[in-house]
Amino acid sequence: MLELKEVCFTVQKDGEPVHLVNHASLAVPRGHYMAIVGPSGCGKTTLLKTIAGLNPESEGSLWWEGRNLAEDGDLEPWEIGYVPQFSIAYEELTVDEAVETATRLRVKCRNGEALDRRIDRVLEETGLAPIADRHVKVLSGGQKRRLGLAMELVSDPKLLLCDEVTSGLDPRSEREIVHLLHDLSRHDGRTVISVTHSLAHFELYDSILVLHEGCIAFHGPPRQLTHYFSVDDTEEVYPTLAKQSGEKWQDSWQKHREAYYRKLATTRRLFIESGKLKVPKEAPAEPKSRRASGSRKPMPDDERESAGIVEDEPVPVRTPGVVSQFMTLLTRRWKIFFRDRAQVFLQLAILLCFPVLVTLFSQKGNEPIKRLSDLPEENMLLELEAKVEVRNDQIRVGSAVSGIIMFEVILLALMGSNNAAREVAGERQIMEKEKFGGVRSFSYLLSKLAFLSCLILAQSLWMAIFVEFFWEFRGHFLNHVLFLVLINASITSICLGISSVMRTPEQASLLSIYLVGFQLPLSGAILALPESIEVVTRPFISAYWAWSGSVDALGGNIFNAVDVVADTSLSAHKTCLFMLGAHVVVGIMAAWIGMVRHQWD
Amino acid sequence: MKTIPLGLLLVLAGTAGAQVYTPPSPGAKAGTPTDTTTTVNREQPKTKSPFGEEIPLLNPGDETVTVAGITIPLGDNRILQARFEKYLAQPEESSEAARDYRTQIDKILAELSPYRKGGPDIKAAFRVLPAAAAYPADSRICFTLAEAVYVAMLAKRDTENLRKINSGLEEEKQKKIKDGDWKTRHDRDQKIGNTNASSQGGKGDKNKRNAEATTTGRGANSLEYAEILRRIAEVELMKKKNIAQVEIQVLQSKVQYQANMALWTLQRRFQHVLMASRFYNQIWKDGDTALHIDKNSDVSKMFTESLGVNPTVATLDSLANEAIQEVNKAIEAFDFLIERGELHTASKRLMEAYLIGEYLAPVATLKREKKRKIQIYVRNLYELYGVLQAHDYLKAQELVSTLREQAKDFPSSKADSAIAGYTLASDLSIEKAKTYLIAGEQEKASLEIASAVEIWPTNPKLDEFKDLVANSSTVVTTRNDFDRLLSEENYREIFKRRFEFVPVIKSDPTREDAMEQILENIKKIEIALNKASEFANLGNGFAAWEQLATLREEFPDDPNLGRELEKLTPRVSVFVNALERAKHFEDRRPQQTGSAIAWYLRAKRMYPDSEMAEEGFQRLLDRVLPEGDTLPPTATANPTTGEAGYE
Amino acid sequence: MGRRASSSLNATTIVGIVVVVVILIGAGALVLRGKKETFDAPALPIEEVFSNANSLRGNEYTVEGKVDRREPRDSGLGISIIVESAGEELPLFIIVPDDVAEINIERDISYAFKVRFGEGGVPIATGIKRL
Repeated sequence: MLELKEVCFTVQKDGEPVHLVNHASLAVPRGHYMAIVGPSGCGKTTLLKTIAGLNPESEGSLWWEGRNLAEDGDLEPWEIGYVPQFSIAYEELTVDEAVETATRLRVKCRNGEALDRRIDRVLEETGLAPIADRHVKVLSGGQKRRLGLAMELVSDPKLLLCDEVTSGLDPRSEREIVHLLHDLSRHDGRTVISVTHSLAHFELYDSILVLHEGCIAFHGPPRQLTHYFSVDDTEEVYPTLAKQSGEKWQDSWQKHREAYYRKLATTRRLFIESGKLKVPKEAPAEPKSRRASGSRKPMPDDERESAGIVEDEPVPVRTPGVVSQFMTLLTRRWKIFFRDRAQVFLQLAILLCFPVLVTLFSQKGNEPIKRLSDLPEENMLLELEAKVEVRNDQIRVGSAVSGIIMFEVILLALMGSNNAAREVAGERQIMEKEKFGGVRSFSYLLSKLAFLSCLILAQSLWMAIFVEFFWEFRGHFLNHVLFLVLINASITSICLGISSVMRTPEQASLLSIYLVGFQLPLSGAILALPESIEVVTRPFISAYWAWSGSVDALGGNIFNAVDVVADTSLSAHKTCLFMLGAHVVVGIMAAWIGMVRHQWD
Repeated sequence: MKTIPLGLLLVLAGTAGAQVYTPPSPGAKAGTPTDTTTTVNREQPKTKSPFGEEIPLLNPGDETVTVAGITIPLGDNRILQARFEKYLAQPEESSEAARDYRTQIDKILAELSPYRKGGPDIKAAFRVLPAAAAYPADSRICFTLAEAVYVAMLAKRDTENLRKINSGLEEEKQKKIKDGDWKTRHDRDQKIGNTNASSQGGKGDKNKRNAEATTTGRGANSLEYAEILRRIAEVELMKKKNIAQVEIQVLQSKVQYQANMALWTLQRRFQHVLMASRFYNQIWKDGDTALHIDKNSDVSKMFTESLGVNPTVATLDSLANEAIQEVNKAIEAFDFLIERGELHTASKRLMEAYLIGEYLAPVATLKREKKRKIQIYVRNLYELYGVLQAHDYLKAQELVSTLREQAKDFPSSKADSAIAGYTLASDLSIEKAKTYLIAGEQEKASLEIASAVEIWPTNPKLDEFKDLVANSSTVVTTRNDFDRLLSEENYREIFKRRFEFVPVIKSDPTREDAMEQILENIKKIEIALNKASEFANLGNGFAAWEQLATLREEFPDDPNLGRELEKLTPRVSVFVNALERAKHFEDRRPQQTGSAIAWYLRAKRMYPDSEMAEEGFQRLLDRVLPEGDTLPPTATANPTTGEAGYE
Repeated sequence: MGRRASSSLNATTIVGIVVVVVILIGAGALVLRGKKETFDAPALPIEEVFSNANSLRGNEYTVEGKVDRREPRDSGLGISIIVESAGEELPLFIIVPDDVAEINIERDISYAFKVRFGEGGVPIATGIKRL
């Protein structure tokens, strides 16, 4: 049973507190199908999110199964399912794969059979079995909604929150969904709360909650709706609502609430007795215990049996471990990657073309550099001439080499940014949903890191090797490779961080591009910055460190040449390593922070 | 016998035709004294003359004359020459006495001649003999002949003849007395007599001894008077003896007679020989038998050696005739040649004639003017010969030209070339000697001079050489100066006086070497000084200083160098100081290699072209980084163990 | 303790972040400072070299300078560097053994040397860094 007691969700608007959810109190029993309706902007989704815990309540308390969610532990991921309005499944996966992934991420299955069973069950329940092999891309709106639903159902949640799952669907699909939800609530004592615009099929609902301006105006049987609001048609409810403020309505409702709840209870009992509604016996209330973490150990099987639970109790769900989730995520990521033709093509193109670009300029970098003789010429003029010649060579070759290195660095930075810019931001909703569903941010991060590392290594190594073929790196090649890897890693991780932190993929992309764009000019490799600016900017420019580190790895002669050419001071090998490492760490940290932070919408 | 005059001529010409020009020394070429290593032997063989054997016209070595194959000894060559000259100087026989003599001789010969009408008249001939004998030039051979005839006549018991002879003797004696008396009163004949050694004084003839006439003639007369007296006595004695010894001496007289003939042949008294043979033929009719002369005697040997057989009287006769003919011919030729001015050949002829027919009329009566010319010519010739013998070629040249004027046929070319050859040889020897002298090879010089002197003692160039020798003392002094300066190491002085020294040390390799070195070195120093001043003018004091300092090590004592260096040093004192400090550190014990290198490098920075700094640096560099693969142990720089590396 | 939403950035995370940052800074400081310091030997009193190099035997110094000439030999490399001292440019000769001369020593480039003075007062490089 879900209970809300004077729950408020307040936000600051122009310095004034505004209750988006205003002292909502309600109770929803198990095995109940409730609709939350109300005019736009009345706070339906807000209330749903508050119930889900996505919005922290400012006042009041929420209770589930006699458990204060704020104090005694929030709903476990597998206890609750939240179906968002728009389906958030990867287009490239099939229905089966989507469900399977969801299952793997949320539910720890003992073996493959159990997994399959669960998947099949869900597919059955949601009627997706026939189209299990279809890619999400090709699904219709209704099918996608059902998929979304299915993915939430994998953990067999007892509380299913659906946010406008029917909006935008054609009547048939709508009817299907509503029926589905209804069916879901008939079994296993599932509480299904559905925010909806449409009141079609409202007779399927067990109760209708009417919100107005964040206040509960009505919560009762659907048939009583028109009666309560003294309207003939449900369509007239909203205009009627508008006549009064929400609070007024709420005050009115407070008086009538009990009566309607009794009606609800009566109806419920009838359904249970008639077998229309199957509700498993409620487990004895767990002793109140304050727990910091969310995961509550389910009752062991034998206890359950002794408690007399007869209905087909689902096996208590456990969230899979970090490693398992990591593997699942990684596998899925690769799957998606390789199914996204465009992405693959782009990556390959970049992978292949960028090194080629570099080699176009490598000719000059191969030229030898004259050396000064061991002894200074006795003739000053000759000495000067010699120095000038050497200087010329140095400039020519030094610029070329420096340029080549910088080019490599920048291109790899570009690649890095391309790798990660949309990595998190592009699937934020899915990630949030999955996080909500129990996926650990850490696993998520790890999977991203693993995936990106592969890309980084492939790109950097290939760049290094390909270019080496045409232009031998005149120094410690391995060091150079290291720095190429690091620049890619650095930019990738920073862009990953950006991607995690930014709200939209576009924002993330933009920022990433700017990041890369500024690498070159601010690196000082082309033009030296004024020292005052250099001091400030340099630590943040990964390209500089990578370039400087690579230059440092050059052999003496070439190093000197580059040193001569580059106005900017060069930094030592170790420093460059450190800085780049720091960048990587910072990026990862940002990514972590971004991932951990909730960004529900 | 035509061979006789031919042989005579040939002989008398000596070997004149055989050698045109004898080079002075056997085997050595005249006039090419370039080869100084061979022993210079310019000794002229005293026996030969470069002029050939033409001058004496006889073989002077042998001092004989070969007549008709018979070699007649003439005695000493010099005496012969003198006699010939005397002859040439003499006036011709023109005195009456001479004429008389000749006439008498002719008369005798005529009387005895087989072509005389009525046959030879011994008595008539015999009668003349004493008169002829009185002539000094006869050398009393007529007397001897007369004696011999007389003896022979006596021996043949020809009393008539004996009587005739005796009376003849008596007549003569009387004449003699008269003559003697007359002579004591008037005669002033000065006759240079020569005792004819060969006339041994026949027995029983009136050998007049020609005493040397003194001043007024009285003395001579007195002697002659005594002589005549003596003769008279002798005649008397002789007469007695003759009678006594007639028989015994028949053979002896013959023998003696023959001997005399032979002797007279040898003596070239051909007329006498002729007379004698004619007498002989009248006395004894065996003209063709050989002469009875002692086979072992020289006379006999002479004949035997020349002809191989003993001659007969007839041989002698014909020989005499030949001789007389030869002389006649020679004189004819002589006259002819003299007219033509060919004195040389003329003199040859004359000498031939004289040598053969000294006592014959043509020779004796030859005009003095003619003889005079020859005399002068021959005198010059002899002088030339003598001068050449004496190696006075200057005089010889004069004489040659004189002779050339005198005689058209004078063989001057030979003379000239000979002289030229010898003079040249001598001159060249002198030159060589000079060279040797300058070179200081005294012995060789003296050898050359000796040979030069030998060849031509009066070579005027010898005076030059004397001067040179005199001057060689200067040479010695200069050379000593050179040596002294050398030992003092005063090379500047040597350089200053180099033009003095160079000639005197020529071909002395040690000294020349030294001089060369000195010149070179001074030159080096001068060049360096020039360069340094150039550098200094351009403001590059360092380069200037270094130029000089480098050289200074090589020549620490040169004053100019030292002076210039001192002048420069203050201008480049910092640089010099750096170098000095570097050197100081380098030389210190224990070595301060690090400091030394540092200072050298510092110096090099001041003056990048500095060679001294560079050398110093390289030197030390070689020490700290020797060639080879390992650093010296000290380079591993283990300070605690303090390994010994450098001192 | 609160609902899921409020527990996004809990104290642990913040503490963790802070810790990481601190570590980074610390490591950075270590690394960066380490870079600045070239060698741990005192600076060479170059005037001593000119007056009495032997007195510096056995000691280690650092000296920086531009290479003026190279003298490569089989037994090692000898270089002459120009050191600035009191406004004057003074030359200094250093032997660079083969095992120390890992980086190319080029003329006209500045390096920092750690030298030890051996016998004879000749400095021998024991460490080289590019400047």
